[in-house]
Amino acid sequence: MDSVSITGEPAPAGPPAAGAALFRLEGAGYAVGGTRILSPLDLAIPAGRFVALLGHNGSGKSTLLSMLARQIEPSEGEIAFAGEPVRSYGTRDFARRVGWLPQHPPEAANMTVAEVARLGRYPWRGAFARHRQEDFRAVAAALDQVGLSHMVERAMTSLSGGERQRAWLAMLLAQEPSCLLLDEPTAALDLKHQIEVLRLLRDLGERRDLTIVMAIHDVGMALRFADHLIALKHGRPVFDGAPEALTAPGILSEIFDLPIATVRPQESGPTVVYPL
Amino acid sequence: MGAAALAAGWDPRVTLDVVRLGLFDPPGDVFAAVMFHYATLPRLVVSLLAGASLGLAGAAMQAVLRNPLASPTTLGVATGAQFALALAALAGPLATFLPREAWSFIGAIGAGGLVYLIGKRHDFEPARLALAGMAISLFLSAASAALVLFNEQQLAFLFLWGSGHLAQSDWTGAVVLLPAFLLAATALVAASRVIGLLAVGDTLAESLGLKTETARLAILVVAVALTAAVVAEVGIVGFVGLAIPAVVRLCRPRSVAVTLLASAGLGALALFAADALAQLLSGASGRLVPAGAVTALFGAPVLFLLLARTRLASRPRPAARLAAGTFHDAGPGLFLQLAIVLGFLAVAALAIGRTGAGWELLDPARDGTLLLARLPRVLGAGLAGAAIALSGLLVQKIVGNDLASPELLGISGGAAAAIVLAALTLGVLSRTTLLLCGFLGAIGATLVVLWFARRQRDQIAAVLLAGIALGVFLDSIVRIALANASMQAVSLLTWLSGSTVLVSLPETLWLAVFLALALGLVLAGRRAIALLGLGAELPQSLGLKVRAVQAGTLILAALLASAATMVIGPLSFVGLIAPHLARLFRTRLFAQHVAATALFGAIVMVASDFVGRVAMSPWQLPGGLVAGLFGSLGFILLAGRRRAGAAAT
Repeated sequence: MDSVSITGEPAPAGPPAAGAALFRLEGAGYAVGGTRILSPLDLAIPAGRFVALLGHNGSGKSTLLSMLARQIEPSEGEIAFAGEPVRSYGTRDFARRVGWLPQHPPEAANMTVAEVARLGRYPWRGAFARHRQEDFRAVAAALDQVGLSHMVERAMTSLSGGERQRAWLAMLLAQEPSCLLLDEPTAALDLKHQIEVLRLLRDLGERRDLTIVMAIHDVGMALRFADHLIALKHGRPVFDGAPEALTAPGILSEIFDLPIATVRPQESGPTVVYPL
Repeated sequence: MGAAALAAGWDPRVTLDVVRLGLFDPPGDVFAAVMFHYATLPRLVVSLLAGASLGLAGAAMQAVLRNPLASPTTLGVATGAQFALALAALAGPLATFLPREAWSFIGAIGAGGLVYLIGKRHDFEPARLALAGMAISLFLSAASAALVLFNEQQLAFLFLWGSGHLAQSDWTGAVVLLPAFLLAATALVAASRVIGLLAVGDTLAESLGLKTETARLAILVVAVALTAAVVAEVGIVGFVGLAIPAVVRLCRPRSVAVTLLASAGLGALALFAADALAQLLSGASGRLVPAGAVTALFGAPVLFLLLARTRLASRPRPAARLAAGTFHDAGPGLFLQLAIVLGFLAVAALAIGRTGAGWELLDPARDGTLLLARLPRVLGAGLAGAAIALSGLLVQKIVGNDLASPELLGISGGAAAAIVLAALTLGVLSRTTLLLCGFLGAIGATLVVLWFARRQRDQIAAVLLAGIALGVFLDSIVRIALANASMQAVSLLTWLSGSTVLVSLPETLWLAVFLALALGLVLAGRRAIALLGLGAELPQSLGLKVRAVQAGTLILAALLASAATMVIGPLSFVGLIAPHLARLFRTRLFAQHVAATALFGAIVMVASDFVGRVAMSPWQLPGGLVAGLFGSLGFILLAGRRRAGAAAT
């Protein structure tokens, strides 16, 4: 890891160029009540990429995401976003740059799809300011891009799991952030909807030039959709690189403590991952 | 601790000689020996036996329900017994064909059975079961309070005795409790293998050939009967049956029999110590402090800690699919209708009266003074109802659940306790000072519950139980404070149950100004407050300063609750049911919901106050109590609902 002084760096006007570090962790770790959940780690999340976080249960994926989203503060070390310590951003200012979706979003039992998407304008308008034309445009565009424009008045509870997840994505897009942090966005979905949501995410990432960081269990899906992979094991990073490098012999077995092989049936097709 | 308290409280007149003489057959001419034989000794024996019985009953209930929150108090069993006893006492000669113990058992089994049925609908989910029990307890307490108010003469004892008074004047209590305890202990220890199987789990027990339902019911009936015997003799001694088995479990006993017996032993010691402490407190303050209030004082915090320590198992509920895909929101017509209903009720409450001769319509030209006397009452009830309803809605947003309310979270209880304490210790105070005290009490109680809610994000039932425990704790403080202030006590009791008689016109005007300000604030900040309903995480990621908005909303809710408590008492439950009524009428959007909730709160309170005034004329039922009776009934229905605990809008 190169040693760039975080505080010395001038704040860039926009998001960093693709490939430069959007998030940079320096010795950031998390412990609660003497139990170490995430060892102090140095890590750079490249901008403009679709990053998948891999690891076994309890490896620290969710904790890492929560730290990036400022839901929890690292108990040691520093995290910088776009060159500035994450702490230095105002609450709404940060929400205009980074959208975060927890693994279990609220039920939102009494809300319509449009109302959920409109929540994404809170970072821009706050509690009191009136919504303007640009807010309505942003919400409409978000709903359009997730493919829910035809069901804006539907109750959230009447949607399928995949549709509900897309409604929450619409809220994130309405925030107009440069980065999405998603905690296992496909965990509760069946295969068809998993593919649907991941395709949508990859597509959105390209169209909106987003950085997406997503925790995911399914290695095959990660290999297929992400273009950068980070793997954690017992709270430590064990892999940080391109998908092709992950399939090198031994690496997956090392991450999951289990003999794992990969095969690619077709030259251009997806890689199949299977335990031995 | 018990020994120390006993030593400190030991009457110096009781010498070794007195003990020797009084132990078996006291000579009639030695007064100290007679006292020792017929008061001190039976009291000691009864405290030991009652404590042991409650510990045993609690341990058995917790084991077979696999629920660390089960106990005679939390399952509504004790309150059921108490209510039946009060009814039997009222019925007088009509009820004497059965002994008191039998009535007690009938009440206990009735309340317990209802809780069991509700719990069964929820697969005996621990917190939900206890919530149902507490709901029924609250309802029966409100009903008991109404009985006391009507029949001060016959039931004055209920107030004292309801909080577990151990004073004895002969050996009858001990004579009932000893065989009851021995029988139950023998039966439960003999069945310890069955209890052990039930404690492991139904599926396993069933596959090993146990009829789980029958076995569980049989053991529960034994525990309920034992509880009923205790309540019949000494009244409700709260929390021994809850806390003692929990303490025993901390020592990780090896077998079921050991758990049961250790709970009995420790329960005996605990109640003995509590009674010694109560006598010590009575001696020091000159007030009669019931032991049950002391156990509640210590037991409610134990329930609190228990809830904070244990992660109660809760299964994620599958999200319900709505049949209709879209909402049909209420239109502006609803508000017009509600306003008309409110106006109609207010006019009726002002104009209609009832005297011994019958119903009477007030003639404004002639009865100007009467109109002026009724006006602040009607206004006060309506405004206070709207205020507590709004407070309830805000609390539901803060906690993120529509089962929360200022009454249930101990917020109103905090206000009431602070007001009573201030009134008793500092003498008569101006209502402004009392309001300030009430506000501080409400804020204090709210902070405790909120701290707890933050620790248990998705465990709404646990948060509610903590709030109810806090309410019981505060109530026990009030009871201890009021225990011997008999003359004042009855008038304060009237006030605590929500009488609107004392309200003056200027006060209602202040209340109106305050309510208008609060409504304006809430509506202006509606976007932020509505976001609170989505939990803690997501709103923060949207840039909401969750803590700040929570704190502001909370202060407003506490202010509203304490202002309302001043007028309608702490137990009206309007804060719980008014938001629900509004929801029933499809007010989905926050601003609509706020307006409809305030209107419903006013309607319910004005109607309750009116009903209370005319229903039993010439007696007056406090409006807060009438509302509380209906409201706690509503709470039982809500808590028993299959999908109770769904997130608030």
